[in-house]
Amino acid sequence: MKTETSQPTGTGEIEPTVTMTAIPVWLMALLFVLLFFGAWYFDLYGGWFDARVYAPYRSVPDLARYQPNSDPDANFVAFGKKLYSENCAVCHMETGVGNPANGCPPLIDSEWVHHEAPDRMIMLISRGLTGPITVNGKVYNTGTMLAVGDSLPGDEKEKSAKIAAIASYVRRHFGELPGVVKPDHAEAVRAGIKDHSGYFTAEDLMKAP
Amino acid sequence: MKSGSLVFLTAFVALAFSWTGFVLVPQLQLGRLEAAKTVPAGDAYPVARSGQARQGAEVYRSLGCVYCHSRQIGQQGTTVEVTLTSVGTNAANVLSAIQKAAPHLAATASLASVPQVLGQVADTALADDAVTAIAEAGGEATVAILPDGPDIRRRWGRRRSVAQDYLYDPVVQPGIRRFGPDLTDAGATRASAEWQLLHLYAPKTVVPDSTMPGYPFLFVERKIGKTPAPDALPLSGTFAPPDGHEVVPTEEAQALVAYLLSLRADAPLYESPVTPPPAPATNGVAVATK
Repeated sequence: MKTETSQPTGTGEIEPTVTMTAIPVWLMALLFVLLFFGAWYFDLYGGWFDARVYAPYRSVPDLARYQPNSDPDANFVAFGKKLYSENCAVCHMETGVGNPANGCPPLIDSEWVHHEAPDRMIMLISRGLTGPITVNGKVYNTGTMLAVGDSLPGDEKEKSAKIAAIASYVRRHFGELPGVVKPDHAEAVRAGIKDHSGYFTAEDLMKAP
Repeated sequence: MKSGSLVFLTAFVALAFSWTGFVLVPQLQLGRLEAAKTVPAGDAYPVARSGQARQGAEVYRSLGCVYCHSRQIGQQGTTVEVTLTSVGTNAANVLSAIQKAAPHLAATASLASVPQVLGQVADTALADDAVTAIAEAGGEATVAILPDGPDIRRRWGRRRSVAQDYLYDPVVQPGIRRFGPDLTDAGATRASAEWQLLHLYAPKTVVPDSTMPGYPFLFVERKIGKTPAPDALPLSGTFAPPDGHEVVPTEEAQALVAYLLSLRADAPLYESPVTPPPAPATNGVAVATK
């Protein structure tokens, strides 16, 4: 809006009147620039109205990028998963269904895997197993499990850690048991069976906790 | 006035809008804040202060400490750092695992000395992948989430301050001036009660170029009785009291120190992630009595 002079009045004074004029282009451009700046600033510092987001974090997804690993054992279990794929999955399969036709019992729905104490599993992985074993009501009699744990590369300490990792993965993945098997525990169990030679039998394992 | 009601309504809407944004929404978001859990340890945070420390908060307030000391840490960025702590038996295997998982980390990795900082990655998911790969190759690595900024480089805090940090402060005193250092993490960096007491009595005893005034009225100078008081300050030189006298802190000084030692804000929270230091903080600088 701007004031313009119009026709003179009789007294010689100029009567002001109001007329409409278009908004200048530069003002429109300035408004858009301000709008853009506002949107940019909001994205940078607004945190999208979430009370958990403080600078320098920009949004909840951005904040989530810096969250620590909530499961401190995840890497250990991942290590176990890799070892399982390399050493166990040939017979027990990646999915844990086993190979019943060749006498290899499944790991899913297995009372041996669901067993609370890990000692039997550590012994089993260390020395292998021969003879009949009952898993989920079915007797598996034709196969022999090799001493996979003992043949893993590395010294006693590394072997124990690897066996603990495998047991942790199997217990967690197929047995839905929380936590992990500590390498120290595996080492202790293996120290207890160092005089035992050859495969275990199911009866031997039942004596362990 | 021709359009008085319109002017009133416009002003009212403008004020109500800003009140909603500045007062109402923050109150709805943070007004019912409760103790949270640290991430990932799951400890309760913050921990309520002891009665003595709560009295000390009142002393802190009455002495106007807030006019020279702030209690808020800023942060400019966050880095995620991967540190190799062990190469295991097969160093070459570990190196190729690093190369596969995070190529830019392998560039500087020499594997000759551990622990070795491999470098920074964009987020913790990538860092965890790298750690997993290293673990699979037989090595060990750790991830550290390191907030960064001028305040944090001065070691005034380990991460930025968030609303949760002030939950149990009946009067929040974030402060706006920093004639003295920020006190957010004072209990961790200066964990010695004796240091704090000496510093309150005469700051120059422990910080020679300190500009802080002393607060000797929080202490009593008195004749030594049959045996010296166990909590007498170990003063010497120009600060020492006359022979046969000792300087002992009053209850107010003890309470203030208890409050200062309770000032810690390094708990890792969801809104301010940080990897706490592996070992507990040391007792700060040695007490300079000579």
